[in-house]
Amino acid sequence: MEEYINSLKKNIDKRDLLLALQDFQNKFGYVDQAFIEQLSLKTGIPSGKIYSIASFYNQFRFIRPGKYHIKLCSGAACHVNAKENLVAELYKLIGIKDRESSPDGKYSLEFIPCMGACALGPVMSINNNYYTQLKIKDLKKIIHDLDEI
Amino acid sequence: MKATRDITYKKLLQKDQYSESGGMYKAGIKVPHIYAERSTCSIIAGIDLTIHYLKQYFEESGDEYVYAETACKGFCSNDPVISIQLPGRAMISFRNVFYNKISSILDSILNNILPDKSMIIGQYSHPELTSWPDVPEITQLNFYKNQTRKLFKYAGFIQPLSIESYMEYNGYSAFAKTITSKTHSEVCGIVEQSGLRGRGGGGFYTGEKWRKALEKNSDKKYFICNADESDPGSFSGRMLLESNPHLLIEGVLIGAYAINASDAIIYVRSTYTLAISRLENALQQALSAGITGEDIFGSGINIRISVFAGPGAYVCGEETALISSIEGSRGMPKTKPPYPSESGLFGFPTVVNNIETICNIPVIFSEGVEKFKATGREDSFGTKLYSVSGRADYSGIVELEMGRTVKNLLGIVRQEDNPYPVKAVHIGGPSGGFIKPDDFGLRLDFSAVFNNNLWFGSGSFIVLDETNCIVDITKYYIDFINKESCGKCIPCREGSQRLLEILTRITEKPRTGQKFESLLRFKGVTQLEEISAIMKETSLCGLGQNAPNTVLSGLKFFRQEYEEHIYEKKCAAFVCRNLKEYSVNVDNCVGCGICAKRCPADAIIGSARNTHFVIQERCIKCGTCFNACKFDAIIVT
Ligand SMILES: Cc1cc2nc3c(=O)[nH]c(=O)nc-3n(C[C@H](O)[C@H](O)[C@H](O)COP(=O)(O)O)c2cc1C
Ligand code: FES
Repeated sequence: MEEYINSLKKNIDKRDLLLALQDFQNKFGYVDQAFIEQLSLKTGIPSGKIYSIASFYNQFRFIRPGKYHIKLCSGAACHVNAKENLVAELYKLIGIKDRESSPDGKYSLEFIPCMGACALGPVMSINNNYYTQLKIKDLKKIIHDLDEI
Repeated sequence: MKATRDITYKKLLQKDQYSESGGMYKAGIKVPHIYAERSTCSIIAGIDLTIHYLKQYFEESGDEYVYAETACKGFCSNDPVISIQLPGRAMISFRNVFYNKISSILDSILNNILPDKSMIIGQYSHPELTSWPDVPEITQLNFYKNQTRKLFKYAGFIQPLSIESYMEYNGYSAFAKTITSKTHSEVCGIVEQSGLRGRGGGGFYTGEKWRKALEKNSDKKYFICNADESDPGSFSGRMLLESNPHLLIEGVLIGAYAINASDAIIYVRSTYTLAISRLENALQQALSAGITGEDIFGSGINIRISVFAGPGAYVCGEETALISSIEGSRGMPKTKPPYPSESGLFGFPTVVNNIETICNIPVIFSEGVEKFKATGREDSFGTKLYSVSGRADYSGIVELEMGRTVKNLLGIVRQEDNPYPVKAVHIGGPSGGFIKPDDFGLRLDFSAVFNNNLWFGSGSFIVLDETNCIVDITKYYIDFINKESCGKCIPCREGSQRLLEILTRITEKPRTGQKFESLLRFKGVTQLEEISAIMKETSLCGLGQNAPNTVLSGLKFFRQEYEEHIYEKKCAAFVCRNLKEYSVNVDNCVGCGICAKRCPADAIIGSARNTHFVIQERCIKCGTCFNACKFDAIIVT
């Protein structure tokens, strides 16, 4: 990561700020503090301002994702299909809420807008494995299996 | 480069009629052709695994076959869908082909035997091909029969990864003719005549918007396609991109030409990764075929198209916010005027159009204004896409002529014998509102929808039945608005916060049981209406102005449900968990103790073989005891 940060171009235009942030997040899964500071040096925009821009958008995360990154769809269709019960169950099972990581770094959770499989909701994904028409029972089993590993 | 350009151009002009069937029903094929409808929805349903086993099947048998990737036809509840065409036979489609089913289907179909009926969606008959006996015609299925498919006409047939496939269906020939034979102003004129209105929500006349931008003198102009689509519950834009990215590119090209812009930007939400990769692939193909880029078809016109992956914020769907976001700032809306067509991206005249609007453009130019105006009515012509979800039997994309009723639409997505009646329909996402059953005769066109204080938004259509709670859904949308409000104007920022507080309060049991709590709940309802009115009038942009629609329509049509929550502290649909009360049915409890053991909050007490008891103050309403009890001894009220 350090290498990447140090290899940043000299002058980054303000227009490319979001692109730079997206690029970094795609590579490392989150936006690191060090990166924002470096970006601030290269663009001349104060780091607080960069943070304010980045935090405006849902895409950017500032916490390192866990080994198992759980994404739970919070779109309208999934909500109608009783997503709330899953949220409560997840909290009970791994004790984290939206945009948090568990202290041991094993899990992180993110509620994301509609995933696009509304017909099959509620939808959840763990590291790009998708689970559809998820029931509490299935969820328990999935997390239980992961806990064993 | 010039050579390829000329070849493409000649090829495009030769195609003259609007070909109906394109390259799909290949009569002369020698080996089985297999098409997998691969889109985000089917990937989530597991089509990738099916494809893997499909390929493995043929590898093992050593037979020849042709495999092609198409995209979802919009009938998402059938996912994953595989279509097979054997030499000389009509194409047949199968539903829910999970990985464990593919080999049995292939085993029978390759031997000309039909597999189990429940897996067959239907077939596409063709005069030159032998039909399958007793297999329904797909175009005659209730889901497709009553739709008017224009934008989605070839979805599922066109291979989104191949530009040739689009050209087989006459793709890009409308653009080729337009750019070489019509002036900018004539193009605007055609769109004006067609009466096309923006599908992004506002219903602004597209031709008028283009004319304004064209007349503006400037050495640089921008044409932007708004494919942000962050409304929860709508996915029609994503499906358009995934099924046929070239259609959008052709529309963008005509639009950019009409206003004489040399740069076009397609703003897509970054979470749409498959859509973005297909779009980028399509742009690359169009560029190498000489359809975009410099000096297109020798006309001296340059149109460069780029993709911007929007980092995700609902308010960035608003055009001025979208522009700030491309400029690299926080995506906050600006006061209008000046409108973007006067001073938009980097201060240059800019046209922002919704993706669905733009996809209508190639349709208008290839079928002609007359034919386009034959669908729809009065002031709304053409078709509209709806993303149907919720308690529908068939969810997915429905394309319906403008001016059909809510009832028509429900007829397409619900089975007649569904035992649960529809309680309400919610259209338009967070800016929209509820429609109650008495109003299902409402025509879905711009004037009727606006007159009823509703909003198309991006066309989400959520079907609700008695297991859904109106207050809960309203709370969901207000929570969404509250999170997505950019915070620039006070009515929207504070108003949505207050609305959320009130809604949360009435969906919870009073904590202390003191009198003033009841008073607060009670006062809430009158305040809901007051705050909504203020937000509607004073908010800066459409986000805040339309946010209270859901609250107001809910209060108007389902007042009784609100009252139940407030006075009786009951949620008839059992959705609002914080209003539920769990208790033990003394007659059924055998005292096994499993509930007490499982309860995460230690809220259940009781000794072995004796009746147990729930301490309400400790209960967190998780429902664990209810699920754990084998004797039906836990009751929910
Ligand atoms: C809060 C808000 C969200 C919006 N979201 C979208 C959107 O997701 N997609 C879209 O095309 N238009 C959206 N719009 C409408 C745009 O501001 C704009 O009117 C539209 O892109 C114009 O295109 P049209 O003339 O083709 O409809 C939104 C407007 C508001 C106020
Ligand atoms: S709402 Fe969950 S996939 Fe669309």
